[in-house]
Amino acid sequence: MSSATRPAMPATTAPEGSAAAAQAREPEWRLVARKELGDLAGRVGRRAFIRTLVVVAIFGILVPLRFEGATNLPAFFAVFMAFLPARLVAIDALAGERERGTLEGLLASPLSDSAIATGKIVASTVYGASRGWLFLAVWSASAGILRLTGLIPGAPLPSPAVALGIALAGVVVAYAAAVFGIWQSAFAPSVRAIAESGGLLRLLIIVGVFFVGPWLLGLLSPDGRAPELPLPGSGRSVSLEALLAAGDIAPGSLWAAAAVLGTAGAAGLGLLTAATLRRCRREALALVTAVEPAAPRSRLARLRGFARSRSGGRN
Amino acid sequence: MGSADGTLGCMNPGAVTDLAIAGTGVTRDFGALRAVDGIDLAVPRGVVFGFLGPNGAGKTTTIRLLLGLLAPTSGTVTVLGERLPEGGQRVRGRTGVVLEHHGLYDGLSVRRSLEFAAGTYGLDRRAAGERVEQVVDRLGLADRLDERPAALSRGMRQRMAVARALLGRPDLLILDEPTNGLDAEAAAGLRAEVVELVAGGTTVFYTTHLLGEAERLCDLVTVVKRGRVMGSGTPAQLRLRAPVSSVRVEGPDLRAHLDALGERAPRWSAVDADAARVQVNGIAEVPSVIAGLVAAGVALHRVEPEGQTLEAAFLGLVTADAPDTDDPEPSDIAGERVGVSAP
Repeated sequence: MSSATRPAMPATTAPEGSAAAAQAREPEWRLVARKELGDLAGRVGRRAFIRTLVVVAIFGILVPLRFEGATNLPAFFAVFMAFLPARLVAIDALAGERERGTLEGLLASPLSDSAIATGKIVASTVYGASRGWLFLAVWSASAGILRLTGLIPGAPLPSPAVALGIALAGVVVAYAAAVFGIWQSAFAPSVRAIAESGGLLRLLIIVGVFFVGPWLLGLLSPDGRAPELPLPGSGRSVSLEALLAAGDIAPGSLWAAAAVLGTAGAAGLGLLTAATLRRCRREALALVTAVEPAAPRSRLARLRGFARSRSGGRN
Repeated sequence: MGSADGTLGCMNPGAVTDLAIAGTGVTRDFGALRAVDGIDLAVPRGVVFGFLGPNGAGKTTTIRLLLGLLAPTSGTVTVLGERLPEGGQRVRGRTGVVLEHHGLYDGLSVRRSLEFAAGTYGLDRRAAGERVEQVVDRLGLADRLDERPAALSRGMRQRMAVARALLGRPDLLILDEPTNGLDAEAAAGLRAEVVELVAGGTTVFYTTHLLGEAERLCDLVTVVKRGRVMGSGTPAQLRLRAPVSSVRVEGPDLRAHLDALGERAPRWSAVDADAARVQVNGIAEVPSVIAGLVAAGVALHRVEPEGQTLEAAFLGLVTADAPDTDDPEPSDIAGERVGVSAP
């Protein structure tokens, strides 16, 4: 750049790499995902990253010391550990890039819309799930050691099947958190705006999925038992287990119900993914990065304006 | 590039075979705001096209339209033969862009940022690494590859952004105020780079607030204001539209002749014994003033209107209330209609 005498690059030749290179080239979504994870690691910093891992590891060691016997609660923690980081990375995926001034450059690249969105979803999912897996691994290892050494013979150790289930649940929950987070991130002006938006629906979903649901199922109870809920006016109480028993739900039909619920969940997740990919379309993103349209007035503001106009502009 | 006489000296004539950018009645609205208002674009391949305007003129929106990031509200945009926004991805694959923000990732080293950018152009990891080495070596940045953007000066980050734009060997280079934050040497280096790229057949779409830079570099210039084209042509053509307040006249013993005329002489000031600056009230007055001097027996060798810079023309155009409908016809280069005109 400092000299005009350098040889000119062949500006109109085809990109290097030829057919062989083109065949070996990395899929676009993976390129984006790798960039996302590398950028995240670089921004977070090695020390902060190690500190986070240490906290997760310590938590993984402490859990089997506290919850002797039952694996429900540690399993819930493992899934929750996958959810939080996936969500944090996802809400930063577009809004954060917009704040840091890198989003438009990414959109101006030859990458397809779907590759950008998919890469970001994959990166958030991998990051979240890996944190959940780390917790699961530390928990299992520490519980195994506690059992082997005889310090806590009843330390909660997940069976291989349960561990696999927890690991898969972590992936699914991290994926859902990633998709939902990126969906939010697509139109939010900043990460802080998402964090502070305090949407009631989001709060209800989080409380329902992570607290009320697990509590009703007995996942939050150290002994794994579902709570007894009083039935108003009857003087009796009932638990979810009792309801299932009263409904004479046979194990087979329970699996059928689980299959229906699983299918519905997968369909919901699929719809959310489709909505996210659609929302991540360039037009929508570029609109936010371009000229901000005038903010729509709230209903209350419109009513105030109407009232003022009726009163002849008097306040 | 755009020389004083308005010829396109550095343009590669062989490259001007068709249009790199073509637009008709391009309009883009954001709610009630019309950011781009019915502009026509016709930019031949292999030229530096200056797109000038004050802040809020619609330059960035136009760039987004050219990249297919935004769809026009009305009108058509074709870039490198691809209709936009449908062909946006193909256009972006042949376009290098330096946007207002340098766009480097804080968490990645410069090398990894550039390798990622090279990967987006379809290069595998090995090829991307080699290409990055080539470009940074050419731009004199090889020793900064392993640093993070935060450790670089603003000028260095801007160079990195230019390097990123060149990774895909673009047919079209869009540079949005690329010399912002660069020192004089770096800015001159970047301009030299642009000249070389254009000599190789690349088309450059260039926005800048530095009108002297546009004057030196651009083959064609368009001035926009509030999304509308206020004037267009070669820098030489636009310079002619600048207001003229004085004329430099030269002739043997001119000062003595003008002294001898006394009160019959127009208002003037001496430059030296053979040259003077004569005040005029606009370009229209020049012929009558010169004719008066000749009729009074003053011999003149040279008459040159003063103050006709691109900056003066620009200021005249952007302070005008409405686009100039008496725009001169766009230049004709190799039989192609070029430049931009208001509808």
